[in-house]
Amino acid sequence: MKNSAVLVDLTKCIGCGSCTVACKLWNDLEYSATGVEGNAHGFDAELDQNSWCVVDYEKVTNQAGEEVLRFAKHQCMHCLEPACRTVCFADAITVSPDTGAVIYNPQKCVGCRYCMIACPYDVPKYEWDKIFPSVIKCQMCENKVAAGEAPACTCVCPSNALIFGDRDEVLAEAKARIAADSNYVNYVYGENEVGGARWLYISDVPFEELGFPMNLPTVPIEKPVHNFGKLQPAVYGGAAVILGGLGLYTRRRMKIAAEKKEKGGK
Amino acid sequence: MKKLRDKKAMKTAPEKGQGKFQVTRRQFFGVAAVAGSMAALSGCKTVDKIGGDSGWLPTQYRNSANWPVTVKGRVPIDPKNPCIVRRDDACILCGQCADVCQNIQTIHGFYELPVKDTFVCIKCGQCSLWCPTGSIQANSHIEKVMEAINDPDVLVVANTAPATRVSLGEEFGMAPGTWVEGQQIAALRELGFDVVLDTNFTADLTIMEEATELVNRLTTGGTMPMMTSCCPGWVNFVEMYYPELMPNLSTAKSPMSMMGALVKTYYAKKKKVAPSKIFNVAIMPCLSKKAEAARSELNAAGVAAGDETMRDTDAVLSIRELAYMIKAAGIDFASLPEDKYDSLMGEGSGAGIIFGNTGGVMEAAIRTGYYLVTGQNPPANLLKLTPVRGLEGIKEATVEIPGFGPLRVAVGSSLKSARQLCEEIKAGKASFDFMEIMACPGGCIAGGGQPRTLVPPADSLREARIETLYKADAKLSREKRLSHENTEMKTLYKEFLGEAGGHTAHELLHTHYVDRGDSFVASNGGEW
Amino acid sequence: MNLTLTIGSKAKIQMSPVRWLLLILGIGGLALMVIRLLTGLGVSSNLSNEWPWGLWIYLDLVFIAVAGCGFAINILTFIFKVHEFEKFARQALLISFLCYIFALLLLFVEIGRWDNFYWIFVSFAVTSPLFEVAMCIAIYFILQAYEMFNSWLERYYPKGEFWRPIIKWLLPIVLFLACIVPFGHQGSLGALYLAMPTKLNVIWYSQFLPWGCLMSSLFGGICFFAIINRLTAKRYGDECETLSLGKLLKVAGVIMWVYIIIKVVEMAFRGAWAEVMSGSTEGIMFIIELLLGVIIPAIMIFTPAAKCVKGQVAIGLLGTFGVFINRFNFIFVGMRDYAGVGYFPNFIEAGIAVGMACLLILVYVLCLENLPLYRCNHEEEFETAVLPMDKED
Repeated sequence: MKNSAVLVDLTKCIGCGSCTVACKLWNDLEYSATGVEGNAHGFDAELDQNSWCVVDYEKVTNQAGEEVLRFAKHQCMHCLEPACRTVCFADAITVSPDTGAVIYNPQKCVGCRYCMIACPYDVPKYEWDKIFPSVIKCQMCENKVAAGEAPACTCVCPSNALIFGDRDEVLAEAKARIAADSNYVNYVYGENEVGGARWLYISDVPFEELGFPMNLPTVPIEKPVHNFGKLQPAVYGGAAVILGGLGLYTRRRMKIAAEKKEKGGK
Repeated sequence: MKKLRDKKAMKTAPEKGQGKFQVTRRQFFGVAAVAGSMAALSGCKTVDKIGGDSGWLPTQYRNSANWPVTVKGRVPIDPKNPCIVRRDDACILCGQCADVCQNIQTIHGFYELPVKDTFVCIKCGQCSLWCPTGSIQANSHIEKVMEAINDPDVLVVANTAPATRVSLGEEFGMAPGTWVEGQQIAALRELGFDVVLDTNFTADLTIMEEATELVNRLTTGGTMPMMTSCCPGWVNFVEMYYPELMPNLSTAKSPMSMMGALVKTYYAKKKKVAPSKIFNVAIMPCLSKKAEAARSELNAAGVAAGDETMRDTDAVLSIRELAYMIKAAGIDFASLPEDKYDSLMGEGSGAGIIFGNTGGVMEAAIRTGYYLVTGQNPPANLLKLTPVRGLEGIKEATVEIPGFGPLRVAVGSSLKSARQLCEEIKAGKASFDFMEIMACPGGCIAGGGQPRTLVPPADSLREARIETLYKADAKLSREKRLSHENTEMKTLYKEFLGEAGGHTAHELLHTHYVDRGDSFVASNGGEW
Repeated sequence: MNLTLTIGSKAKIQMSPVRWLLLILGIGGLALMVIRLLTGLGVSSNLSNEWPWGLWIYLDLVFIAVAGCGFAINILTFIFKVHEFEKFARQALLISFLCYIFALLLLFVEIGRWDNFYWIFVSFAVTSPLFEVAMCIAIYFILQAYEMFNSWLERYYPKGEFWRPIIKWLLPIVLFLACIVPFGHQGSLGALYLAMPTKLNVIWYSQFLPWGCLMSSLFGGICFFAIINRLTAKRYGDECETLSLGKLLKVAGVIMWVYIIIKVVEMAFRGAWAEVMSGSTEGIMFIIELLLGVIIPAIMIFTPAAKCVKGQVAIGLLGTFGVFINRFNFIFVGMRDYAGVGYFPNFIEAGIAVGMACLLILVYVLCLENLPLYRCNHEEEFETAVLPMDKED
């Protein structure tokens, strides 16, 4: 699927954490040595080098003012125009031509960690304990999806909270659900955030209460960086022309002055 | 440098003369280094390798989209669940927990989404029994118990549930259903429990109270049909899914909770021990009992002693936890001598024994109910009430009681059966007066705290356990098979409680239920 | 203690207790660097997922900025042919060169996959500001190395060989490129933080950030040069450079005022002054940065203070402080609200930085005492080789 996307209907999530386990199984990840009994399980896990997908568990107030229990799955949002790809100077992060997922190639990574600091969702994490570490983030099961399957997490969801499909269709489904049920917050998270993401969320509680950053611009992060970057050829060219011209002018003026001096001396 | 090279040349020269091709160490490393760095620079490292995707998933998840496979994912578990905990690193997403929860217990999938403010769970613990990898485990009380045992000031009292004595042996290599009552007592004493009592004693007491209540309801026109209340998973189920049927539940506490209330009142008084110095441990085949022990209203002894924070039951050990403790202590269980329960609350009848299987409570209650109505002990055919025996989900029977007429009874095990019966009651179509429900399929002998078995627990195994319980009941003399003939219990009523269903009995042995229907929105199952 | 070490029979260095100390610290730093490269970043630094960039990146940004002295003086002498500043040119080049080496060393320990560093040049990922930084620094480093090489040849092969014409022919091109290249990467270093619109505090986050970095590298570089020049002069003798230095500082002063005006107007335009005036830590730090680091030295430069040694040192210190705190503010203070307070460099991070700095100070002294870089040390070589292209013109 070239334009793949996942819709997360947070109202459908029962908090079983199957998706986090599927991620660990499919990507052969360890359980981090933090949390209960030396292992970060279930809701104790946070995004780190071994946890590409976590589910948070929060008591929040819904639109009707009731306190409710909600779960929020977090993983790489797979932006359409990813900041991490823009800032990666080794081309280690690319957008997959097969799936549209933002994928990381550890073989090219130099380890500057610019992607970590540039990601507006703070998703990429680092293998701090390794001698030759990699940046770690969800790859949206690139090979599995390219082979015609759905990402591991969406395959195992028992309550159909995760729906995998074409982004346009998934987005239409999200909007249809919102239109059909007034309990939903009228907002598709990820539709426009920093230029749009491949993971789209709908919810019946405000997204800020679930820990989603709400201050993101709708333009891609690439934009301000590119605004500066596109001036660079002009900067070099301009500097070369102006400084070159000035240098030649100075030299010519000095030559004339010297000639005058010579003449005057004579 | 140059000299060195010359030396080497001199050394290798004669070898060359012998016509042998020799690679010096220096040459080898040199070539290797050059080749290595060339390979690295030319990108011999697999450049297009992408991180991840290197593990596996069960094949039902190797699909192209959100296929409606039969078994998918797993059940949600509250991190604060008092009964069960889950280790994610052992989970393989086999779906067994979701299977039992959805198809046997009708909980998973039987509520509307979005959830409200709780994880929907009736805490039966079947998932932990079905989990093939041990990912779902009992929320261990071992540490708590060991702490009490190691405290010399504390009198640690254990009481063992009926179904424990036919399955604990399995943990030590014995055949399913082996009778190990005596060894269990001995093992508990060896572990450091000061007093070992029998939950069968309070099972008899439960029967006395419950049968009295049944007779009262029948004669005074109380809410009918009456439902048993000794299974905590079932009680949770009613409170959540059928709160409107809560008046139908017997107000009698479960045997474990009666034991808790009495150990810290009657037993403490008799033995002249301060209730606060007693640590009461229940050995149960059940995980839901951990939640029951934690219920805020079950502090009757505490209320009587003026300390409402004191629990009636301080800790609940499942059979698996007890077996672990016995193994950890290095006790050779099989060769232990058979020991006896301590007196005062250690006597149990055959009716108490069969509490451990589905239909047992019903049979026990009928035996005593017959006595309460007719004033005579039941005839032999009532001591083997075949229609309510066996693993079938729903069993119905009619018992003729002289002077009263036919008593129609229903027995259900597993919550799927319970749901069916509850729907009948709700629809006004219930054709019975008294209903026994055990949340686990087969009753306590297949409880969530039982030793690990096949997945799902095989019928043959459950039948073996049941058979042993019935045999143990059958081989007793007629009087010994009746709850109301329990001599220690008679003493208890005479010296402490007064009359069955009386005031003190009500304070200590009866409880009330809480409507939890608001915590979620129930549904009849189906696609989420 | 005070023995003279000779290196390759040609270069000499007179050791002193202080220099021994620098050497020991430098070797210690190298040892820590080896430890860093053989262990992970988790062991050798306090960097974390919350603070993936720390002391090293900060020092990179700061020292590449103050290395702007070579760039600024190169423009003044090569483009504008201000003869008065020519005596500073080679010293500024050396300082700048060493600052770049310092930054490159720290960059090398900073990247997690130092074995993969060549991918930067293979992948050619032009969208990243860091790519421009890396490429330009690499190119500029080569240009500077070429200039240094020229001085080395003058010292050790003064008579000239067949290569002399080639070197001479190429040098104006190199010097010209050295005037152009830093325009890109000095700005791009600031542009790194353009990718954090939601993380960096509004006081610093703006499209002006890279241009501010470019400008501050010019005046910050000159101020940094002023300090080093004063220190060097104290050690090796002052050849009436005070007046020239005062004039050089005036150039910095002009850039400072331009910077101040643009910054104030640009911030007013974005409405960022409200945040400054809110009394937050960020606001206070910004006021310190602008007032102490730019405005006060910019005023002092145009007073008689700039004509005396003490005044020049004070201006140099304040201006350098201005660059240091500006980078500190947008790397640490401005991100604090987002990432939380949780980073402080550990001793390996600091040790490597200190060790490398000590080693480079020694290299500075060694170069200054052996190569024709500083007027007082090499009177005769200097006579023939102020800057080779001048001979040609």
